Amino acid sequence: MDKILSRNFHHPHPLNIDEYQQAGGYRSLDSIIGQPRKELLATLKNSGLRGCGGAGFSTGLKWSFKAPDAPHPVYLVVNLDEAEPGSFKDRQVLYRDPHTIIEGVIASSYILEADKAFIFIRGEYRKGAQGLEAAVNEAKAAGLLGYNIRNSGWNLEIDVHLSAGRYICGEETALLNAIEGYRANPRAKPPFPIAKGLWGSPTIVNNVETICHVPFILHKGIEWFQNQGTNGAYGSHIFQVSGPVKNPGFFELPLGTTAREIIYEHAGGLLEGRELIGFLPGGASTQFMLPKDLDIPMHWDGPPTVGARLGTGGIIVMDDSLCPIDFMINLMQFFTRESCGFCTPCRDGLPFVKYQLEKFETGEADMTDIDTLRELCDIIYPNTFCAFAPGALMPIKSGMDKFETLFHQHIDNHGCTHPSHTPSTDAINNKVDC
Amino acid sequence: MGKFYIDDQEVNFEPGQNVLQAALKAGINAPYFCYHEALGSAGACRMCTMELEPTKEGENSRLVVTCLQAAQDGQRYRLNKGIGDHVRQGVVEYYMTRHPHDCPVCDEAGDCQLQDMTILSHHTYRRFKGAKRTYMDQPMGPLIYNTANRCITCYRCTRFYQDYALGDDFGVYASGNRTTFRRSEEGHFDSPFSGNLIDVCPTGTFTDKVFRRKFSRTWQLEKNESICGHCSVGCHTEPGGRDNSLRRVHPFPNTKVNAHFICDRGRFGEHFSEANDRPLSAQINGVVVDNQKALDHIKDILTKSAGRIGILSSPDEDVSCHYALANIAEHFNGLFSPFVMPQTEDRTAAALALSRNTPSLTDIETADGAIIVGALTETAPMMDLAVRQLIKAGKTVHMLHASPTLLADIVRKQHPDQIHQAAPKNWAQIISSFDASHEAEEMGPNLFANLDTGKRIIILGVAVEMDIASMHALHDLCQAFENKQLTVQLGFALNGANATGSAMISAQYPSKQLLDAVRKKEIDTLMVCGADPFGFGAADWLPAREHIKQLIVFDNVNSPTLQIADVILPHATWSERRGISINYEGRIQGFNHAYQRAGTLTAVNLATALIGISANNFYEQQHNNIETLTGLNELHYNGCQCLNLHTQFEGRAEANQVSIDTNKDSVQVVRLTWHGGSNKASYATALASIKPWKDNIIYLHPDTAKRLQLNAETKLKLGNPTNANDNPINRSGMDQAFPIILNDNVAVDCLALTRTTLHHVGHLVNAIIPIDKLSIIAKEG
Repeated sequence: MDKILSRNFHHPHPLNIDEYQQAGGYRSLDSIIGQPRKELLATLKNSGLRGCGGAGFSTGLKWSFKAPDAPHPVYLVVNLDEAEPGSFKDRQVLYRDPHTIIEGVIASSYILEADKAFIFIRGEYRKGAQGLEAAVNEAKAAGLLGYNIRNSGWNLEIDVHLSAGRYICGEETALLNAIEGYRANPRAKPPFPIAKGLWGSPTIVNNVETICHVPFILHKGIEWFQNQGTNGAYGSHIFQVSGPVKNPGFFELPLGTTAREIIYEHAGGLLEGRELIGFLPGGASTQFMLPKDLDIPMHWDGPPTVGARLGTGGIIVMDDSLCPIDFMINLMQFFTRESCGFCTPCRDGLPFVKYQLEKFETGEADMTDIDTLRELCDIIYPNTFCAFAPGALMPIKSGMDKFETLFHQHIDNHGCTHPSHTPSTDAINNKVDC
Repeated sequence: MGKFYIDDQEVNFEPGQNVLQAALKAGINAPYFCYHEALGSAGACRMCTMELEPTKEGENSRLVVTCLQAAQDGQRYRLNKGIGDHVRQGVVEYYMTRHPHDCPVCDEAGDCQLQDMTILSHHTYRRFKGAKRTYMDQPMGPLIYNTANRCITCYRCTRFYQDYALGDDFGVYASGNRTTFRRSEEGHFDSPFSGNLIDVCPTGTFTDKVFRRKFSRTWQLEKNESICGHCSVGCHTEPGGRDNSLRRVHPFPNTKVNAHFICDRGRFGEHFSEANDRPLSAQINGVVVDNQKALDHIKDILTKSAGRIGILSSPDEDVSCHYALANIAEHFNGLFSPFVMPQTEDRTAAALALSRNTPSLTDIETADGAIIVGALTETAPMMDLAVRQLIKAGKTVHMLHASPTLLADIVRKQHPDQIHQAAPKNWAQIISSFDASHEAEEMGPNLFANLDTGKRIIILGVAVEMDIASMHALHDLCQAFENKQLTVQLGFALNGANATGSAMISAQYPSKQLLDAVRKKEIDTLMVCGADPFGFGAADWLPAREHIKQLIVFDNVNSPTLQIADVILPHATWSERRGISINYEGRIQGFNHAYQRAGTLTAVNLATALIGISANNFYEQQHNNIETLTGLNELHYNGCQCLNLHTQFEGRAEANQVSIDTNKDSVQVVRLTWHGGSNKASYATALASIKPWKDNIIYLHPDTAKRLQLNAETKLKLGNPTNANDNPINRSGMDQAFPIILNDNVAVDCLALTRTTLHHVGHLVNAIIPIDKLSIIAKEG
């Protein structure tokens, strides 16, 4: 497999525009700018590229929803608000090869006839944003951005927008509110951003990894792209592994590589003496997978066979050194804090879920609490304003199914008997959220 | 128009309506929190979730949030029969994880949407036993009481305060279940519409602090539909009283005027009736007597001085009151006037005569652009709220003003170039230079050049600040826009709630006639109702005070005039009596008493006691009189009928046209007012306590100060308002020098003075003072 996104990562510093161009960068634009947009879009549609932000929706299909006579300005928004626990793929591209992002943005914006692109970056990635901004200025000076790019009669500006913080900004409509300067609450859909997004104009929001793939597909062709994948998937993906493994980190691998290969070969397997209990395949808001699921190929259609989803491909490994319910409480603590506070089930329901989970740990729970917890999940999951709470509940719902005996054990034992559990754990869990 | 079904009940809907909206219209008890008829849908509370039955076989039913779901023909929803009920119970249970359950001590209890919806959702037992998150309550000034823990985070308050009323000193803070709604710092709200937070909040988070002081459970209040008597818009209100006192004022839902909201002047200003110094008993020469004795005494006086009697009413009093007093005046062969000053009468009549297709509040909200002349917020706040809807929609609003006004602050924030500041004496000239043509741009600001033909523009003027020449200039501007195929509606905010009705009557009873008679010493008994000739109208009236032997004041506030009265009669307020008022559009609106105040009298009572007209006869006669005056047959008082102002006031725009003083070496006095500063509302204690301006200070633009060589070390004396040879008047403040405060929002060459300061110095609004008449005095020490 050719490395695509991480092809320049071996350099000691991010490449400047000259080095990048020497390494073959921006060459794809030759085969894109000036070409009929319809054909490019068709190529993209046929390539099988799917959104790498977690949903896995066909990128070409999404872009074709933009009305051909959509009024200008058209905006492209690149989502680099990578705040999902366990995910750190976008960060690598941002810090190590900003020009790859710009090349992707130019190619995508051309297809979409976008007039302005916003790259929305997680607030903590400040240094990376500065590097990207410098790269944008280089590209501008080189005539790759600005007015009448390559005599195509098409103009593009890139605005690097550093987030002021909060997880919810990664939700596409909340992100639009954040760019416009409003409180980052999600907006009602419809209208979808592609019809009415930033300042009421058509806006396409995509994950940065998706955008980075676009020029390569169009430059090297569908066949090449499809060959990059394995086990029936197309293209490559930056997988990330965190948790008690010997070699945690990120690995650009063919999409469809099995979880076993990622965890045990590339990440070096679990630490000595540890046993795998389960793992979250793609960030905190995905369902648990168990050791028996290790041979499932990690592509968009793999994890769903065991009721999980690929998400961002950020694998969080859970071993026997901690109690899974404690693990879930930790996740709920994060999601409770990060809820934007707009809709009731998410704002007030998630703290209730966390409270219910804590009851198991502290030994206050009885059999009815299992039903209560399930009922809470069933009501909250489908009835929130955006996809935040469903995501937050994915590990809880699946955890209740997959570790059901554990919940019963907690009830029988009047609390958590795991060696890692101390009264201080409860104190930490119960502390007032900031 | 189509229909869908909720639990097999048929619901009709109009295109564009959502399911919840149509269901509520159809009278279905659909639960909701965050939806509001005026503020629209948010989708935050999830309380209106219903189950949508599948349309095709094999599909599953699904849960939908009905406030975000466009109604479609033939759809079938399950409300009480479906699984939606389960969701709604969940929603309420989640609310209860942090709501304090303090209903027994909550002002909202019994009138609380959260209580209603909890019952409606069938939620009963709460399983959450953990710690509730709590907040500090924020002190929010004398009008609104905040209990932050009761909040259910429906966002209605910010959606009203920020999105609808364009306020920026209140908002939503923090995230997750720590989300809270408050001001960035403690203190009262800046917006003149803050009281509506009480109504839009579905819980007791924001409650009426004035009501709280004299609280009553809302179902124990005596209520009735009334008309607000505090500005010429005439909003529909619902005062609630109990045990001889007013407790609270709510907007009354209607479609004609104010729809859902009222301003703080209407809500809290009506509490002037509860001021401690309100006259509530009759007095003769300072001795409290019973009403009958006072009426006998007055009858005696009037009979003795028949022929030398003047009766003065005010545009703040309604048509019935005017007619009753006019009848009394005629019976004793005296003179009557509904206006104190001829200047005000002329301006009001001219404004009405020059109005064109007067816009209603809805017309203003839906227009395509607007020109505002004068301090609109401070004169007719609800007109300002309507203009804010235009601004929100991104329409162009141009503004010309002399004294600081909140609306100008909002326009300035977005379009500083659409603000024009100038002294009122120059307005006519400036308005004429507003160019309506698309070509000649060098003529002056080219307003609405981008507007397509057929679009509608609103022009609103504040009559009390404008001279008649500038009203004519606005009228001419309409013509210019119409020539460009734009539709124009011109209206004026008038001084006094019943200014239109008063101006109608004043054709028969001109104020100049009464004032001249008083000056010629032909009047020795003056009866004053609701007016303040020796306070606010002092420059004209005070010289005549010594000729008046008997001053009878029939009023409900402790005005300066009342304080020097020989006989005092307690007058009922609008909430305490019935009457008819005509608003700035010419809309005839009747009101009825909401509660009874023992010991107060109405003008009709007076007419009965003094000249023996029975109340029934009076109202019949009045009805005939108004029918004759308005030319309307089958007259109704429900606000449905509007007068034709143009025919009604024809010929009254030219009369007494004042010549414009364009003297460069003069400054102009402008009124410095605020939304609580109207004639009556300024006596409402709680509202008056947040008055933004100081008395006995002169506010002026830094450039004016520079020109007059004023600074922090100097004071300014305005001099005698009248010509020294002609009836000198004696005011306490006339020889007094006042310190200055610089304010960028006062137009250049203007001196902005509060009502009280004006009263002290005896100058009239818009008086022009030659610079050589001003004297600058160094501060002592």
